[in-house]
Amino acid sequence: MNAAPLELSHNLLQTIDSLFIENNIAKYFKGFFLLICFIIFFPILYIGFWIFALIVGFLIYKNYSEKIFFTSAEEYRQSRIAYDGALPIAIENEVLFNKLKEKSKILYFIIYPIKVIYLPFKWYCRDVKKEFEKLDKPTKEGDIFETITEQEMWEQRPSAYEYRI
Amino acid sequence: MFNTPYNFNYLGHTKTPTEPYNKLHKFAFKCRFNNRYIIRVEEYDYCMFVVKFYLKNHEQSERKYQLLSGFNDVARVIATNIEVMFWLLNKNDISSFGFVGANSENEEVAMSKRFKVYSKIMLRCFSPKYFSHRRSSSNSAYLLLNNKHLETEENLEQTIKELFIKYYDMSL
Repeated sequence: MNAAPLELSHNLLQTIDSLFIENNIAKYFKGFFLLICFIIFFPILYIGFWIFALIVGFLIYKNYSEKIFFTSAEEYRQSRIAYDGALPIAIENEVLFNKLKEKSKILYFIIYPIKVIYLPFKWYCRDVKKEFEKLDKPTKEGDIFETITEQEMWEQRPSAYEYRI
Repeated sequence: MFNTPYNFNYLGHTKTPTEPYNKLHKFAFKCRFNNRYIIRVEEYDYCMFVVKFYLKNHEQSERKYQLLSGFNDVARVIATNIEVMFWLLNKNDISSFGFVGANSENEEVAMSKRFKVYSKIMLRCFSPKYFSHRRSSSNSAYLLLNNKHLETEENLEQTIKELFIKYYDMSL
């Protein structure tokens, strides 16, 4: 048994057509609007992200830079504790960002501001290490007495214990 | 643990023209078991002090530095010795120190128990900011060289090392 063909009036077809067109235009403009928003706001957001990263990085560096130079045993101990805390962060992030750079350079450059936050740890470790190395005075090594390096001395003592001098 | 030294008395010093050291300083203190300890500090040239201690009861023994008291009071006794070192340092801020961790009976000279303990305590108390640390594991000897003095005396380190090796009959 055949079904009767569907008969739609001319007006109804027109209405359906116009609805389709309207929907498509709406969809097109919605996408376009989002694209415009993205084009306008993404750079602003990214610049904001950069500024935020720079401020945080600066504050971290400012905090750590006070612990680079030491004039007393206690200041030395505090610098050493800060160095012990900063070094793993610096190394871990260096490894992480290097891996990311190998995988995707675009993503690496997008999240580069995060690296900016962590850079002060690396700089602090580099600067304070130079100060620690100055404590190891160059000596003529004899056969009997050996020099105990600053690094070894620190590793062999409990860090929580304050120096007497 | 090492923060509770005993009160000690300075017994004065004697000049020792016949000995390699210039002066002999003596200190004494009583431990909580009412036993008297003597701290003997030999003062050499270049403000070098060598610290030794023994129980007064063992004074006549040739092995007085090797005998153990058995009081299990080592922390406070060592803390008192460190106080004496600081007392000397207050008198003369370019003082350097040295000691030998004597071996007990049936113990090798190298890396003696005393040396291991004393070395750890030196690392705890004396920062590399003010003192350079040198050790001779094979002789259980330890030197604390005053950085302030090292800066002014060019050959201080070498001289002190030679002095220590000579008078303490050190071997390789």
